[in-house]
Amino acid sequence: MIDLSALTDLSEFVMSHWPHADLRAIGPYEQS
Amino acid sequence: MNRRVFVIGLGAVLAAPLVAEAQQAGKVARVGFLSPGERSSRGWQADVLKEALRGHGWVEGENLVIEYRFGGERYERLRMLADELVRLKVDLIFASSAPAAQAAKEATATVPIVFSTLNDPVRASFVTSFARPGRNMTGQAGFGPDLERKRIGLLKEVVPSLSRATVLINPSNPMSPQRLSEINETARALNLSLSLATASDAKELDEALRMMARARPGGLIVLEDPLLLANGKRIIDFAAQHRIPAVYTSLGWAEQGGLMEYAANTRELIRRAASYVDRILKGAKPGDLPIEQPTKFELVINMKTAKALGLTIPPSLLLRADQVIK
Repeated sequence: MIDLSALTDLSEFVMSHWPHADLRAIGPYEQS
Repeated sequence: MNRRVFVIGLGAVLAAPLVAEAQQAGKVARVGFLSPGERSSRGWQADVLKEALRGHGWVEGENLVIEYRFGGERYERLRMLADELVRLKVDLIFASSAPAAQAAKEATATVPIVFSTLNDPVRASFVTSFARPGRNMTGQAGFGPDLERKRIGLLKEVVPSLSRATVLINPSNPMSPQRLSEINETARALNLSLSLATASDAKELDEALRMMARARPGGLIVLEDPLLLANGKRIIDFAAQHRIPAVYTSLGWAEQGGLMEYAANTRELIRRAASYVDRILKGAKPGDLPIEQPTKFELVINMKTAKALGLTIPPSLLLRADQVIK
């Protein structure tokens, strides 16, 4: 298991696990 | 005449011309139904769509052919099935869930796609905006602002001392990066330490559950995913065995013994999506039909599970529940 609270940059983690993820889709939710 | 009879009678009168119109034109519409999972676990969604379309005058075997395609446990298979539906020249693809919508999107930029998802279709790049989807896709999106905050809040209400929780996701789900990001931001804001467990098939789920058993988190959040739901009973039994309070982010878990769930009603989403299918089959452009979102999300609490976990559910929470399973 990965301790997410220990990560300083989630986007870096996401991109390493999901290289095709759209970075614009990462971050707090805002109504589009 | 009592009012109910009148309303039903009026509905029949209004629906009749639509049926007649389709039948007179001799048009047989061909709809592809695309879903992950198996027909045994997901076929009910196709049934809901079929019944809703009947209400719009589209009757399978008369003026409607539905090509059913279920992708099984692997999301990669959905793309092949979507290609197959395009080759069959269906008039429209109904995508049940975000992974199915993603596969359909990759398969065609011209065949209309109507989706039902619990995710944000703009962030998923299915459409360019809610008001004017703009491409060949539209549908129903059962999500809303603050949903993750409310779900974590539910866990904290039943376990006020909660400081550590695990979030279980299927990394193969194309929505996972987006959803993980949202829930992580929310957890941080609520001072909840999150750990991540992943499982994309039954074997990986075994391993994830083993690791969770060792870590013993104070709470569990299961992000909605058709394949995790297909293995739902194992996850629910695990949570019961290890006495881990869990919140689920789609409906259908609490009735199997899950502690609580807070989510949009998928049946209702599909029913509403059927009206878009109807309109598109009659000539509307998907890109002109705004994405619809529910105004209501359902909270279901299983009191038997709460008691087995030794939890006291606050009366205020029970009052807010749409359904309490006793």
